[in-house]
Amino acid sequence: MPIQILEESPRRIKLLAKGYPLAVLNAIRRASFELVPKMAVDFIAVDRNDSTLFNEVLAHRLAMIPLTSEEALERYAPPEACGDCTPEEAEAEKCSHEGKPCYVRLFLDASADGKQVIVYSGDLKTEDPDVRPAVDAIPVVPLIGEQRVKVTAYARLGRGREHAKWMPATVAVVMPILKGVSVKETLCGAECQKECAEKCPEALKMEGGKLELKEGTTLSMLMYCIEYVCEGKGIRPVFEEDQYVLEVETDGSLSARRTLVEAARAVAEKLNALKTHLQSAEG
Amino acid sequence: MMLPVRCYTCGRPLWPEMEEFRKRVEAGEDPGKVLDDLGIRRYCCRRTMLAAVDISKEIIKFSTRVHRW
Repeated sequence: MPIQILEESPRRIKLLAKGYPLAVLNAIRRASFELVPKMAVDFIAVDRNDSTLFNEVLAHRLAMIPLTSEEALERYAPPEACGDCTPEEAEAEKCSHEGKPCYVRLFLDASADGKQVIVYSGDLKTEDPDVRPAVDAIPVVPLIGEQRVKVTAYARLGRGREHAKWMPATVAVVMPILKGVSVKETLCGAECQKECAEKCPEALKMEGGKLELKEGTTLSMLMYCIEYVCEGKGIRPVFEEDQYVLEVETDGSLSARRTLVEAARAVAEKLNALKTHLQSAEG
Repeated sequence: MMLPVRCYTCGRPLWPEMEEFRKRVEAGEDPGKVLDDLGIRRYCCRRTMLAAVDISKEIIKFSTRVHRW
């Protein structure tokens, strides 16, 4: 079954999938939000925080920074092994998984030195060069005068269902492809169709005495016309059969392609788990 | 009080576009056109960019005393 890449950049991918059931594509779409692991700061140890931000706010801002995780997915322990493990326990080697560590440390040590400065995500020093802020220009905390911030942040792999900071995808949508409109002649005759096209020139037009879809219109525009302008007159959108557009955009921690691959893998793993569970229940 | 790291709704990191956006809007350009130019297409991100107000630079002046917790 062919999949055609319509657009691709590191952070964005758009696929045309032919012959795949909507349920499968939707499972992959949801998995790219919920099940694909990525790195994010989970704990911070505050040595000193003179800034105007509370420790909690600082922790939140640090957690929101996307960290590159392409290599980290193989090199660090999976979320299941580290979810209930604090950095202290990890340091005492109570919770490593197959020799892989749970946490990577990032250090932030900045002072204003009498000026008014802003500390950026680029000032974070990382223990592992593979896990670093994907964007260096994110402001973390403002400092003034003699203020100083010294923080050690512990990042680990996690999944989006635990917290939104571990969601690699910002957008993941499955869209049907709009082909045309169908009209019930009994509900909407020639006169009514003409009126509809006149009221809704953005989405509809008359061609050869029939109501047709205007080129370049969107489904939301058409549905607006159907529901609010030509209300209840038997007009329905018609979609291409068995063809969907799957679009994924990421926050920069993983590439869009990698996110899709990991999402598909997560769905397959879940199906395998279900299969073995059912087989053991039978036997 | 500081500018948001990500869009509140979709989670798109708003930097480094936010910096250029603010610079250009302060120079007098039309905010909508700047957003189009920077490739911010979704209305959730556009809303977050447009509505964010940074008051940290004003507030911080009242906190020159060093607090030790």
